[in-house]
Amino acid sequence: MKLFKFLLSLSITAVLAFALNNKLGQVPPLGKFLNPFDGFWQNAQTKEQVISKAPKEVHLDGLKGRVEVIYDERLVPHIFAENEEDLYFMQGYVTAQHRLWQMEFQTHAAAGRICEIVGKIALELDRTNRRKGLAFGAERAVALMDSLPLAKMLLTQYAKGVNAYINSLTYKDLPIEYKLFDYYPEPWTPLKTALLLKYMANTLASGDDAIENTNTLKLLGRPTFDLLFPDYHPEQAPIVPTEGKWNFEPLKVNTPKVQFSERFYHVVPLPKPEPNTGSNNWAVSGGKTASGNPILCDDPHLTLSLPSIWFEMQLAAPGVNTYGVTLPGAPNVIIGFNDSIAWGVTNAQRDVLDLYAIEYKDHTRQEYFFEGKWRKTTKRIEEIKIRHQQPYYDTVIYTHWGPVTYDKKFHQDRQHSDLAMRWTAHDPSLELFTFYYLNRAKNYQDFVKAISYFDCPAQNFAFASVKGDIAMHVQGKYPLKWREQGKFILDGSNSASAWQGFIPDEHNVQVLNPKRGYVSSANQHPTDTLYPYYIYAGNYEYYRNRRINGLLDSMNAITPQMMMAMQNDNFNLKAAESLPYFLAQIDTTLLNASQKPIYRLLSKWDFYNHPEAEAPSYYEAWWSNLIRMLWDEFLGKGIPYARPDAFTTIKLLKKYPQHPLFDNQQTPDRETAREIIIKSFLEAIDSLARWQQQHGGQLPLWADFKATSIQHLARIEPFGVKKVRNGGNRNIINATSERHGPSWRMVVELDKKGVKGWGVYPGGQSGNPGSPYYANMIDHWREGKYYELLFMSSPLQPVNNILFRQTFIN
Amino acid sequence: MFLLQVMTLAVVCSVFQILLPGNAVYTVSIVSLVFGIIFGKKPFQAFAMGFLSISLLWGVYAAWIDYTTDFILGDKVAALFSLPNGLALAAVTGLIGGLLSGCACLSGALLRKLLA
Repeated sequence: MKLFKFLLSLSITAVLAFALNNKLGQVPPLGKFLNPFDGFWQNAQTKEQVISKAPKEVHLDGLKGRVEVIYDERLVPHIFAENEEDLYFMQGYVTAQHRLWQMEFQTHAAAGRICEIVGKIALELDRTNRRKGLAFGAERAVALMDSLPLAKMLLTQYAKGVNAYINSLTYKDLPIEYKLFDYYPEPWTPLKTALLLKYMANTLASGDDAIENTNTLKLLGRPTFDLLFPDYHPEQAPIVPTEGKWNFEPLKVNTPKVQFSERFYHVVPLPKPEPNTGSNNWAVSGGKTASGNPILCDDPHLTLSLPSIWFEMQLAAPGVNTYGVTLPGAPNVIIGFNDSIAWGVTNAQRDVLDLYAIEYKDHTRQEYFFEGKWRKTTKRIEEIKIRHQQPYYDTVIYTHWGPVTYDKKFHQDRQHSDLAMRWTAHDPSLELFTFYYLNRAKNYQDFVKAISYFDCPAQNFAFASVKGDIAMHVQGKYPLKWREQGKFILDGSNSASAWQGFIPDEHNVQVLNPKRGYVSSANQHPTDTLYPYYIYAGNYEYYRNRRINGLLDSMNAITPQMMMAMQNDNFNLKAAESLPYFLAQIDTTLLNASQKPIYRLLSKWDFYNHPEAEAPSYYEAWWSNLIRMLWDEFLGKGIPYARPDAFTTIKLLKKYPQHPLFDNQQTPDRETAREIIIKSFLEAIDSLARWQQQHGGQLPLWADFKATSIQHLARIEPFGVKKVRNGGNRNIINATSERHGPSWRMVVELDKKGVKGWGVYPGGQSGNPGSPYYANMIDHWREGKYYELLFMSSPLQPVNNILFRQTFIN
Repeated sequence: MFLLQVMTLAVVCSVFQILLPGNAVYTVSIVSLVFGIIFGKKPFQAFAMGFLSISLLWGVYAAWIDYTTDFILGDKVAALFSLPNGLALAAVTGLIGGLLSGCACLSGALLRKLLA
């Protein structure tokens, strides 16, 4: 009996101990996680602890010389090294100190390895990223970089620095996400940096609508298709309007007699890159500024997340001193300035991903038809490890075009199609060099040389220098295409469907010191129809660019403060161009007592999406109802179709209100645009009334109705920030929508006596949700305020408000 | 005497937890088991000794961290567990530690009886 009692008690204790030490389902190992000695409680910090826990001197194996790291009041590290090897070692080390979990998680995502951490729930995501060949592209990039001493130095020194930090960690110091998901960081490698760059290419340059376009063309026929999806609108304000003529002899492109596919494709297209990821940048010449110095501005719009996508830093060593934002996981400053130049990027929309229909010889998929013969495929067996389960094996077939992304095992509906992907992100490239050389550039020539390494994701690089130059280059590796090549699914059995080379860098759209005194870009068309090469993308922007140019045209004696105000401009050009027309369609005598005040509210609106205004809530609700009712109904469901963009839709509504397209096929009456405009207005009023009911009668002020949130990268809800009250929206310079927005706002004045910068981003330098520096800049960002950036000339420069200094030596 | 044992257990557990980071559960279990063998004259008393000692140690330490860090992380993690705030989570932390130690002390006491 005594024995039994003892054994029973011991077993209970053992089971309890086991349960508390292991992750059960979604529950973290409670004992490990909660114990206050080294569990999650230890991740909580005060400002004083951030300072007191940083040793003054640290010995690190692998350093050659002495490195000074000075943290300013916002926890921005200013790294001063005696040589480049140490600089990149320390960039890796310092970034890992603050952002280790994020850098590893993002590269795990690119590699299709999230199931290893969270289990089967991420299988679709992992399969998608593997079928897109992100790891395949990263491996090819690493193979090239490995053969070049400079690239190898950058990658290996950065990796050594990250690993020096990982090796110094005990369980107590692990970022909280590791404790929560119960796993450990693995060693950093050059491949992980390459994966991070592919992760960005995937975010920015993986958009393709060939499936939707092919189906839509077949459904509507050519005239209607061209009406709904024109390649160019003359009202557009392109990034670089043709001045005179293009000063080069264009390469010849042969247009083969290729039949576009004549059938519907029942494949389910992969999720598109978020359409709200766009950006603004501009630079004004000294002739337009109060001080006579050029000013450069940039605000890249991305999914708002915590930890923030950017990490601010100053990097200095002999031959380089640069400040700006870095991507945790990659060496160098990505957007920033030095004492001679400043640069900033926006995404250059361009179709650099095409789909080729593949015909296999038989079910073994070992050969496919090409040029009248059977050509061998290769197989890449993707082993997706799943936590607590058997691995999932996915065989991805590779053709000479690229991976067969869509096939009978992936994203099919009813019948199946094999579609191979040709994507510039799969080609080996050296984007890393662009940033290495930009960080050191002294003038325009250096800038041009630096960006020549930039292939994918193509970017609009704005440039300004203390010498007074401003420039814009639409830089990337662009396939040489015949008209409409790749807009539809291509024939993968015909060599004539292949890209015929690439546009030479010198022929890329670019301008230096234009007459108008400024350069700007906001994801619109790179140039007009006089450019000799075919340009296509399904997602050009039509509003921010015209608002930016309109403001810059009207401004003189510009100050940096004026530029900051402009980055926070809430003017809704889309509303200004559409709302008066919409309102004119409504017969006010038919409105009831609760609808009339809303009509009046909208009639008096000044078109600013200010946070405390009600009118933008009604307009945006009206617009989203309208566009859904217009296109969803007539295009039908079941097969993926393209939908016209906002600009084209508004133009069609005004120009052809009687077009049969606007007739709702489901009703016997013949409808025009007008009926849909009225119906969507009344629905918008109802939906806002419901919103008010759900919110205790609160007024639908724009900031509350929009309710911008900044989510945690792994969607851990309490680690995100909700209800960030601000204005703006998509298609507005302040492009803050529900989940997306300016991820870094930067203004730089190129003063010869010392370059001055201002910046802010919606997050904080620390990736630790328990740090006071995790989300501390959000309010400043929300209010449109900026921090003056501390650009130090040397570590000895006396500065106020330093948090702490550290010295690192071997 | 009982209170002295409770305090000694807390101190010894703290020392081993600091020396062996990342092994909280096994450290507490083994130390408590040994304490049960040595001091566990009555099974219930042994359980109470472990429970009281470690629930206070973990709970008070967690609450102290939460308080001194301005509840910056405790409240967020509490929300994850559907608890109202970090102090409630500190109480749960204490409860879990206490339960573990209590069971281990009890096992120790029963072993002591068996060997006696």
